[in-house]
Formats: sequence, structure tokens, C-alpha cells
Amino acid sequence: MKFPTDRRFDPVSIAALALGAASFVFPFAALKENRVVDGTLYSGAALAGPLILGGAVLMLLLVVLAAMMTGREGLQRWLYALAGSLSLALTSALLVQGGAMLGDGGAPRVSPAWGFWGLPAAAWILLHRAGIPRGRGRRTLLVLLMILPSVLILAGGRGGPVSVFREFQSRPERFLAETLVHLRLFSTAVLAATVIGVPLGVLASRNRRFAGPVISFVDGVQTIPSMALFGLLIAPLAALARNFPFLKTLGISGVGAAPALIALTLYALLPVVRNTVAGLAAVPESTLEAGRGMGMSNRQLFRRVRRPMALPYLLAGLRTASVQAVGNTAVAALIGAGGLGIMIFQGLGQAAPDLILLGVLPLIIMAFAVDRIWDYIVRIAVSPGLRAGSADQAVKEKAA
Amino acid sequence: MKLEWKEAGRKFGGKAAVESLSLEVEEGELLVLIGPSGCGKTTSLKMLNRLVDPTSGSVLVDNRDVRSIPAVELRRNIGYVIQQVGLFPHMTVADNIASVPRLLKWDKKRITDRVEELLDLVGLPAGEYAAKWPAHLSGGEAQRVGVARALAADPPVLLMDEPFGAVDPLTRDILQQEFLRIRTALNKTVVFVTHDLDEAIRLGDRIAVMNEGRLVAAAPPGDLLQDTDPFIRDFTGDDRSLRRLARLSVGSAFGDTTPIAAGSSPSASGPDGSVRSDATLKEALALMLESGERSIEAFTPGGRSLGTLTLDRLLESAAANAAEGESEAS
Repeated sequence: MKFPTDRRFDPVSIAALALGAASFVFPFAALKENRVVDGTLYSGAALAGPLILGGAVLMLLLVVLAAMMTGREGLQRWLYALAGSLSLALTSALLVQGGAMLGDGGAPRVSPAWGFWGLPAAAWILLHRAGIPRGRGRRTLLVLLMILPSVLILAGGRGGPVSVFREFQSRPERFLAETLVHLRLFSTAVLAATVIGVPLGVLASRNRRFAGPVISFVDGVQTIPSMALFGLLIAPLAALARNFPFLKTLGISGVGAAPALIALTLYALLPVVRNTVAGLAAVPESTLEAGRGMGMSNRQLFRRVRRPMALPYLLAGLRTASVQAVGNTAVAALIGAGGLGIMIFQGLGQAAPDLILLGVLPLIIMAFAVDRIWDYIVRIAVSPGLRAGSADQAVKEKAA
Repeated sequence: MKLEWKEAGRKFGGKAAVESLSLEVEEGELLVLIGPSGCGKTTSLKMLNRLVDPTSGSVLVDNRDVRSIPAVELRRNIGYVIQQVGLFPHMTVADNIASVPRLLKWDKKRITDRVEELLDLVGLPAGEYAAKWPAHLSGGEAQRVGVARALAADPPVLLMDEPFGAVDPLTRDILQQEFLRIRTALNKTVVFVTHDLDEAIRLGDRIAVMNEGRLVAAAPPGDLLQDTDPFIRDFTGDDRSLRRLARLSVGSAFGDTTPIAAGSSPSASGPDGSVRSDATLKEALALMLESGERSIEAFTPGGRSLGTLTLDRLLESAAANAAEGESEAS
């Protein structure tokens, strides 16, 4: 994005400051004596001590200074990044401050209220505004460095009273176990979708008559709501397990991991198949003719030309499939497959937003991590000659 | 390698693209196939490397029916250049050129040396271009790489399908000039498809004109421009006389045998509004039109005066040449 340089304040900086201010003006957190009571709502300003207020002023100054540094992009970048890092640190500090204001009795907790999200949102915007150029994981490293202060503030037991940690403390093993189940479920589903979807896509691109039904099948699956698909699979799988007992020994039953994996795999198939087909179709006829004309066999043509040229499309599909699968897996908890969805649905059942958050936060982190990992794979696996990202664009254009 | 179409025909879904084509290409000859779009020239070309097989008749390479040679093996001995170039975008320029040598399993050292040699041949410095991606090349550069790739394994035959059709006129002129130079250096049998008559006249040893799937005429460029066949007359256009002038050197009007300099247009004029003997008569006429004079002094590139080229003399030698061509044709 480009902003007019004659304006001292770009709208993005103003939005970030407004969001940050919201955390101080509106209810930031509820201080509760225990899990059940509603507690008392406090705004960020009511929680803040002199140090935090000083930090907030510093953040304001950094953003103002950054906005004035037009024409000195390097410095501007660092100022914005620093302001973003500070914004996250302020979030942590306010939570710790809230914890300090609570008594020691029982299990008192600081529950984020809606005003809480202002500062993290501001941090997010500022980090983007900083626009740190990527390259060999440098950006990821810098972003992690900027998050570090806020993590350190919460470390050493200071973050203990924060509601999400309270929920974690009461079930650490369960949390870790469900996180692992979640990782296993979605990665198995993506792997299965790759093993099934790539050959399907290759076959479909070779044979038009085969392509129609395949594409409409994977498209059709996508229109079934995930909840319904999980439900639909219960009856047939239960019947199978009943009639063929050996299937039961393989772990197949109406509920649990089997129907979840089937449904998740079916969902992941669409992006994999469609992108494989799109990638192979995007290889220009002239390129193929050049290859054929120089004496490549069909096999050599596939391995040396079609496959490497279709790869960015396939990887883009796998990336979409993976990020989707992380989210879809949460729903799988409903049919007893486990995963982070357990926390979410338990939290919903108990009207405990803190428990929901314990399920949702790792889910978000997981989705981001998966996205980054695919980004990295694309950069090392795709020939620079094909310019990464252009494949994404082409698939979108094709879909539109 | 000698190439031959022997009553070769090809039908696509009942419609004949090429009908009973009989034509030979001598070893070392450059044959241009020309004609309006849809005349079957590209199909005829593709019969030679089996991208299209004839549905009737046969195609021979060194007197062997191409259908008796496995397509893959045949094609590795025939360089192929197409208008869209078709470089592999995921490979560097060097890897593109190395494609056929790799298929033939040459050793690494030999491939590297060959790639450098070829980049040099097509006028792209290896240090600058070897590691480039095709996406970063201009149209002209890409087609140079395309030619280098086709020449990589030193095939005796080169097939070119409108190779310079997609570049701007200036680049096309340079590419044609360089191609003439490369061709002189390599002595390949070349079949060249184009729809550009000027290109055909400039490059071809012989021009085969096709129309609606049939061969209309095959003759050296000079003869073709004097052909009386109505289709050829129409095809070569009203300015065919000018084209003919473009094939005659100024020297020829004085009985001098200086050949026409390749791509001579910038050097046509000598000092003081004179004309060089290796310029074409067309260029001499252009210089006269420009100066408004009815005569121009002619000099050899060495500086020796040939005398005055008058407009009458120019017309005379053009007419004499035409008469000569006509008597040859009849």
C-alpha cells in the first residue's frame, strides 16, 4: 500500500492509535474471585499504574514520530515495529497488573473483556504497517522478537492469574494431549488428501470425461456443512463396524477418529484436486510442444516440465487445505474425535469463555504456524523462475 | 541430412490440411515454406519431426521413412524452434539450453562448455545470461535462447516455425541477420516457416509457396518474384519489382560481382551522397528519391569509383535481370 506523503498522519496509524486507546477507555478485563462469579470490569486506564501509562505515552510518541518520518523508510519501519512490540507488552502488563490487584484467596483470575482486544489489534496493524521485508525467515524471526517482551512479562508466574492460564493450570495434561490429537488429526487428513487428491488431479487433467465427475464430487462435498458431514458419516460407519467386526479392531466406528478423518480428508480434497488440475492446465501448450519437439518422452515431459510448473499451484492448494483442516478439526470434537475443539465445546457448555479461549488461542497459533510453514516450503521448493504467489493469483482468477 | 515429402498428405477430421505434397530439401539447404495462414505450412513442417504423422504418402529423412524411426530418437536429432519460443520458465537460461544434452546424458563438463559456446554463438554473454530466468528476458533474447536450445546437441536439421514472428521489426531484422551469420557458420539443413515474404526472400535458398494445402511453386527467391502464376503474382504483391530490386546489388549494374552486404541499410550511402556497390538497387533508388537527383555516384567498399549510376541505368539493369529471369522460368 502507498500513502500520500504530504499527509502527516496516515489513516492506518490513526486506526492503530484509536484501537490501542480503546483498551484504556473501555472494559479491558474482569477481575473475578473465582471461575463462576461475574467479577468487576476494569478499563485499561483503571488498571494502569504510572509505568504502564508511561508506556502508553511512549507508544503514542513512537507512532507520531514514525508517521513523521516520511522519506526515511528504514527508520520508520523500526519505529512502527517498536510501537507494535510495545503495544503487545502493554497488553501483558495490564493483565499482570490486574492479577496483582486480586487477592490471594481461592483461584482469582483476570478475564479479558472486549476492550482487551484493542491493544493486540493495534500491535497487529503496526507490525503490518512496518512492512518488514521477508527473506530467509528473517521476518518471522523479527516478529517473534517483537512478541518476546510481552511473553517475558507474563513469564515467571506473573501471568498465573490470567484466566486462560488458570484454565490451563487445572488441566495441563489434557490440554497437551488434545493439542497433539489435533495436530495428528489434521495432518493425517491433509496427508491422506494429498495421497488421494494429487493422483486424482493428474488423472482428471489427462481425461476430460473423468475430470467432470471428480471436480463436481469434491466441489459437492464442500457444500455440505462440516457438522452435517460428521453426522452423516456416523450411521454408515457404525453399520460397517457392526457387520464387519474386524473393521472395529482397526478402530473404525460411528464416532471417534475414523469418521472425523474421513470427513476432514474429503474437505481437504477440493483444494488439492482443483489446484493440481489448475496447475497442470496452466502449463502453456507451446511449452509442451517445445518439450515434445526436442525429444522428451511423455514421462520426461511430466517430470521435467509439467510437474515442476504445476508445483506452485499444488502447494498453494495444500496450504489452503491445511489451514482449513486446522479449523475443521475443531468441529470433529463433536463426534468424539478429540482435539482442541474439546475445550471450546466444554467451554460453551459451561458458559466459561476462558476455557473457550484456551481452545481457540492454540488453534489460531496453529493455523498461523501452518501457513508460515507452507510459505517457507513454497519458497524453497518452487523455482524462482515461476515467481511464487502468481499461482495463488491464477487459481483465484480461475475460480472467479 | 536430406529431407523429403513424398506425396505426403494429412487430414484432420476429414478435412485435408496438406494434400499430396512432394518436395525435397537438399543437405545444407535452407527451404522456406510460405503461404497464407491455414495453407498447411506448419503441418508440413511438423511431419518432419513426427509431431504430426502423414495420413497418406510418406516423409523421408535421409531416405528413411520417419515412421520407422522412434519419434523421441528422431526429434533429438532435429532442432525445433517455434514462434512462442516455449522456454521452460522454471529453468535458467543455461538449463534450458542444456535440455537436449541432458536427455542425451552428456557429462557435466561437456554440457557446461556447450552452453557457453552456444550463448556466445547467439550473441548473449554467458556470464550475464546463463543464470537468468526466462521471465526476465526480452522477446528477442528469449528467441536467441530458443535457437541456442535447438542447436544444443548440434542436430544436422533445424526446423523453425515462424521463429521471428512475435518480435518487433527492428529486433526481427537483427535476428534474421544473426541467423544468416550462424547458418553460414554451421551449415545445417533448415526448413523455415514464415508468412513474411521479405523474410523468406532474405533468408531462403529456395522458397516453397503453399496454398490451401497444396504446393504452388518452389523456386529460388529471384525466380519466384518473376513467376507468372496468378496466385504467386498476387501473393508477392504489386511491389514485387521493388522486392526484386532489393535482391540486386548496385555493383551488378556495372558488371561488378560485389555481393550484397547483409543488413546493409545503415551503410548504403557513402560519403557526399554516393552509394556503395554492396548496397541494393532498391537502396540506391531510395537515395535518389531522397536527394531528388536522377543519378548517384557509386563506389566499392574499398573506395574505388564505379562511375555514375543513373536512373536509366538502374531501370535498364532491373529490366535486363527480369528478362533473364523470365527466360529462365519459361
